[in-house]
Amino acid sequence: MDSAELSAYVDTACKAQGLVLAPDQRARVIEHFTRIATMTEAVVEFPLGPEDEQAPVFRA
Amino acid sequence: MSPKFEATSAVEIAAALRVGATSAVAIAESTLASIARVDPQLNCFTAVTRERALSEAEAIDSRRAVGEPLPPLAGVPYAVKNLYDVEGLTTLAGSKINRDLPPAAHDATLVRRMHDAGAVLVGALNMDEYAYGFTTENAHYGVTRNPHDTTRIGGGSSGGSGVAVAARLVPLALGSDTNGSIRVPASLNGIWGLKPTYGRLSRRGSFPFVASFDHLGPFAATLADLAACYDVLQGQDAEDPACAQRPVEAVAPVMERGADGLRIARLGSHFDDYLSDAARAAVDRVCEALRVTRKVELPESARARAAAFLITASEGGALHLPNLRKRYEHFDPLTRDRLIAGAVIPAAWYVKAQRFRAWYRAQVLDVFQKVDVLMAAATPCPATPIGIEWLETGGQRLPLRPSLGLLTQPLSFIGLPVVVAPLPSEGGLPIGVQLVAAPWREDHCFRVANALAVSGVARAPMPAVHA
Repeated sequence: MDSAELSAYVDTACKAQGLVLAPDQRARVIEHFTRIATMTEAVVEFPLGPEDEQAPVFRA
Repeated sequence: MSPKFEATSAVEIAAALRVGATSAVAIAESTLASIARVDPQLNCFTAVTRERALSEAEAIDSRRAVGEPLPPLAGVPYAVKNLYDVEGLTTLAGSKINRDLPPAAHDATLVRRMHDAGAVLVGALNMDEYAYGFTTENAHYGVTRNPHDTTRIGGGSSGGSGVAVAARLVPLALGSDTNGSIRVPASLNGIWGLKPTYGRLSRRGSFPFVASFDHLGPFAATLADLAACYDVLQGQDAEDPACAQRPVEAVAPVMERGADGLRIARLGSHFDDYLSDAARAAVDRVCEALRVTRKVELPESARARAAAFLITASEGGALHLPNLRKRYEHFDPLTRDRLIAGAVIPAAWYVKAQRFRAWYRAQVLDVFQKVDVLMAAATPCPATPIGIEWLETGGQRLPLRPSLGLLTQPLSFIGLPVVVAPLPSEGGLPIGVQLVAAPWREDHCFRVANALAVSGVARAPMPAVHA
């Protein structure tokens, strides 16, 4: 997502969650969300296989 | 008759009581007087539990008077981060919002265990709001100041706990560590801290932050005190679903074996990339003392830190979403916008981070087939000035508040046990080194810590402001 898309996503997601943001608040939330998104790229792009299961599987 | 409390450790206090060299009430009164005198300079305490302290101390003295054997921490004063339930006190968790909650009906399990061990609760301690921070610059309860230099932070989120122990206001304190909140203040204040294996210590009666990362643990000014405290905190608890069904595995009796026979290595890459000169020098000193030349990589640790950051934001945001909708203005400005950003993280990102976590855990467990204890700095730098926004370290400019957990997050992400060993520096600020072991091997952390304590390399320096 580019910065306009990130801002649009935050606006839409906050509205859907019932969060009403004032303009200065919105700018700070977008700044924090952008930081998360930047860090997340490294996680999202990491290749994992179907065997990399997140559930706590009982093996014994 | 009473030894001046602040000159003695928890172990020494309990021993002095056993032989009648002092009384629990005298120690409690001395501690309460020290808090009244010194805490205004530091701002560790959000509540002082004077009546309870004197009542618990009187009970100990009564037991001794009739010849009952005393429990291991008899008469030892301690305090807890204000996210622990203390019967009769409202559990603030560093927030204004929680002031509206009723007082806790029961003690947290670990508070109850400290009581059963004879310890005397003297108060509740300041923290970052809802444990979401590393600096304890709390808008509602004020900044907690570093006793080595009161213009600097005491770290967080268990900042009150770290500072109270470093300043010798109490010999023991309890805190919590989700991403580094015991290890960061232990490092910045120059004291010992333990984040045990995830699931080792009960969290019942503590205010949550990120359930799958939350750990509770102790701080102390000596390693013997840390071990004594940890040993009384252990044990199963059916009321915490994450608490493991393991027996007590006491470390105090085994730590004197030292580091002999343990395979020790220094962590590289991510754990090397952001170090200030002081942090690098501290790890060098520890390696030299232990004759460690081996360096080990934890694969993808930078990504692990990113995934921990993401999961924290997401789970923390979800936890507080109802209040973010209704009471935004009552949150600390340093946490509320981060929590909202976390609350709207897409599910696909969160799921990927959790799947990565499982992968990373398997990789790191494999590393422990070849090594017993790993070492890394606990923080990229010593304590920074209050209020600063940016950190320049290792040739990089980073936002300070999240970056203080750079070196702790990849480890708590998968629940590994870590002891922080404090290293003084000549005329400077202390800094801590993490001693990291495989799950359930806290004994290995303590054995290496003991080798460092015995050699004199690791010790908690007395700060400028103290009891």
